[in-house]
Amino acid sequence: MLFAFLAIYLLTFLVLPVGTMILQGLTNNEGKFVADHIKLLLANPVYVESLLNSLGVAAGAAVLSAVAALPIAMVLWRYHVRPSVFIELCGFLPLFVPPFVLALSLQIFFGRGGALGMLFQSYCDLDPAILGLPSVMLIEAMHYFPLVLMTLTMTTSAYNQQAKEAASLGSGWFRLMTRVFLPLGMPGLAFGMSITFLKTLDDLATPLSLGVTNLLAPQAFLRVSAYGSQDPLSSLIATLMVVISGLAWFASIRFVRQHVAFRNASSVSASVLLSKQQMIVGITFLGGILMLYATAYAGVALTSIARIWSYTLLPESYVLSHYLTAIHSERGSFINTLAYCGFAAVLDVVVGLVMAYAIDCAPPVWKRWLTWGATGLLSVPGVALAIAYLQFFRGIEVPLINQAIDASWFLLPMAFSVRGLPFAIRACSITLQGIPASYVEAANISGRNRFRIFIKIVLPMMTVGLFVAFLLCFGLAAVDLSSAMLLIPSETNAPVSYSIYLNMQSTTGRGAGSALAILSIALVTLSLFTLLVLIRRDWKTVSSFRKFVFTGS
Amino acid sequence: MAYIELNQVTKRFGSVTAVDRLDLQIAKGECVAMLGPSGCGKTTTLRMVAGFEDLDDGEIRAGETLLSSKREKYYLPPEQRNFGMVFQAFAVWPHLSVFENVAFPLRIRKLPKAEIIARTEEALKHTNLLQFAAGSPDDLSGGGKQRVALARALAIRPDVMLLDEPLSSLDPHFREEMRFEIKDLQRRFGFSILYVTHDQSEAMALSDRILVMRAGVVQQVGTPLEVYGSPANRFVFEFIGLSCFLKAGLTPSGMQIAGNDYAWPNGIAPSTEIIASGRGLLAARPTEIDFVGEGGVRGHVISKAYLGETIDYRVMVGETEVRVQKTRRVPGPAVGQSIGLNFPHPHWYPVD
Repeated sequence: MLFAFLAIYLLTFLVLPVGTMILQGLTNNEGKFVADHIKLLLANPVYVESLLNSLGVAAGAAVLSAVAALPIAMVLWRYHVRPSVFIELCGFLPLFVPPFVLALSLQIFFGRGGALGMLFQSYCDLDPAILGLPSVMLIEAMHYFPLVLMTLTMTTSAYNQQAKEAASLGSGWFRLMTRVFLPLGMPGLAFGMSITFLKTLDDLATPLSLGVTNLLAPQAFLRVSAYGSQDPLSSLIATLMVVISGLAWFASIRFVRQHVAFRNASSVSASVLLSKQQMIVGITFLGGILMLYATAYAGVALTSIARIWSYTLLPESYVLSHYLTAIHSERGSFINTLAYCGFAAVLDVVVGLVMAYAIDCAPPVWKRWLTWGATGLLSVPGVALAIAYLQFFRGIEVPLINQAIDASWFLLPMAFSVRGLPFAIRACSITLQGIPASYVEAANISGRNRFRIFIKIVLPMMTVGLFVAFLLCFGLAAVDLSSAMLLIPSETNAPVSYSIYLNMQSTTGRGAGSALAILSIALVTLSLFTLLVLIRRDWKTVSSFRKFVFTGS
Repeated sequence: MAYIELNQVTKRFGSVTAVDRLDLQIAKGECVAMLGPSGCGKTTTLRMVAGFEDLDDGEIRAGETLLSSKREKYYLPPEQRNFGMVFQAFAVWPHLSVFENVAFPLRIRKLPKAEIIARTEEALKHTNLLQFAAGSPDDLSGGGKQRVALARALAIRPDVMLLDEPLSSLDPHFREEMRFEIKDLQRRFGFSILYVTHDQSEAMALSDRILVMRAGVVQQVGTPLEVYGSPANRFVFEFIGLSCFLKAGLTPSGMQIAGNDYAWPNGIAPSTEIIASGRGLLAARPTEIDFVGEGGVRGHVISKAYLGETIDYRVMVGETEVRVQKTRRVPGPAVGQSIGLNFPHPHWYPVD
């Protein structure tokens, strides 16, 4: 029955909508395959330019973040500086904070009339909105750089001892980097770069907040806004995004799936006795990065407490009223976020558990395909999924409330759940693998009541792992603005991320919007800290957390 | 009379035959240890008896009851076999108290509350855990956790106890202590034991009979004394206890080692088949080799090491190194000294 539920869920909310969307882009009104739409798309220079821009910006952001992360990771690795697990987790913060917050923060600083923008105005115009595509690329690279750095550090630091021995044999820096560091760090680098690529390609709010529209995601969004959800060209653009994402993800899989030998917690803690020089290097580099990001987000942080701030380096006076306004006026969006993301996360945990179990029980050949299929869900962009839902569920009435399903809030949590599913499957897989078979067999030999065994023995042993999966999916859903911007039926149904975006667009709402953003970042950090405590307590070794990202061979 | 009966039991995993046509009978109250190297099929056999693995051929019975049969396409689920099982990894549920761990099998069988309490307390008493009943198993040592697992298996009053390397996760001190406790519990409750181990001393100390397996095939079944004293083949000889082998050329009148002719050691000649092949392996335990000043198979001592009560000598005979262990109380040869070796209890095996 569980597998039937799984099949219905995947068919209804993934396979059929995405399939229909692809067909919509490739067929005419009679349902015949035609190349008309493709010709139309290629004939329009705006779309061709958007396609090339999207590829360039996404690839550029991935390369830039890697270029910035590589030397720092190399220095940290060379000096055996291993960030604490909490700092490693903070490296994953970009997944839980929308990049447009950074874009707006930088705009507050460098924009015309902004604190630093005003200072530099006589030399050059640094307003991110004026720079266009390069600023989108830079902001995305800056946003995802900590992720690339931490995934790179996690994979290379697993081999610190071996690297130390190799270095002591007299290898030079260059040789060490090309022969040891890069091959070891490849899984982390590939994972970080591919996530940066996929997220940048899918990002809708950042380019729109900077006024950039000549990218695929904004073009698809604008076409749906202008011509409605049945527009074949928006389907084709969304299909193009799915194909590009899929190719990028599967190209990186070969590197991500390389074996990563994580040490357990005890051996990690035994190796963190650093010399003074190593301490200085560690504090300088990691502290420098933290300072850089603190400064970058200072725009939003200061705006959240500024009464008046315009054409001055710092706000003229400070208030906390924006927080009160945010909490008071955006109560609805908090409740919406809790409802949508909570629902999506619960669904993810249930579906993820069933899928993880199915993968676990599958024959080895199937296991590999199912795992690939599950991770392949990462390559369905939020914008594309939203367009697919709008087309597939158009006009379908919900029986009891007599409302069209695409006019209700229902599709939003469903999209969130599909987007969070690959993460949920991974977390549930680790949780399932954490229960030795003998613990279940010891229960099975005791009696035949399978349901009772599941409730009394299996479920309590998985509680923490499932809670981790829930938090993860909740966090990812809370920042998924790409699907939210298309699927929200009205502002009263908006989640917090959308409210931040809307507030930040107006001068009067900036204070409250910034306060909302700071509250959200604080909540995410708190959640990450809770995750860390839970992982430390119940998953015994930090290697489990690292294994979450890198499955090994 | 056999209580558990395995007839021609076979299990395959893909192209690998994990257990090949295994026959075994276990009497009521008997303890049989399955001994063999990793991957020899002993745990698979135990799991087939428990009902966690299906058979590819053969059948398993408990008394008159059929448990599994490939021919009759019959399979009795594990929970209906009334077997207790103890696992290597303890498998004690950390979120339940010691009492609840032991009571769980009874609760799931929906026994009356009073009986659950009585049986649980009885099992805890016999495993010396009564004072820890309310506590968490995480507060217990490895030995304590294994006692909880034993108590849980005991609570259902099993006909057969299946033990899958139950002591291998314990410290050597606890291991010895638990051996006695398991034996004591068996005496008190009268259940049969099928015990999987790769530790020969554990098998020797606990079992009435030992089954030695290799690559899914039974090599020998016998009492510990039979298996140790009269090993069926070279594998069993080598696997049980320390062993030394000397290649010998054979003639109808004696043997030739390193170019020298000797009479049959202690007058014990190999079988006519081995003699007919012209070559044989002379096998002996290091503790069963004597030093002689004159005669014997000649060699010279290359090293000696003190192992507490015994001294471990390494003697080169031709190009073969032979280990000899003697008590430290009897003076032995010095390093470099030429010495003769006598084999009072030789075993003969064909050369592979």
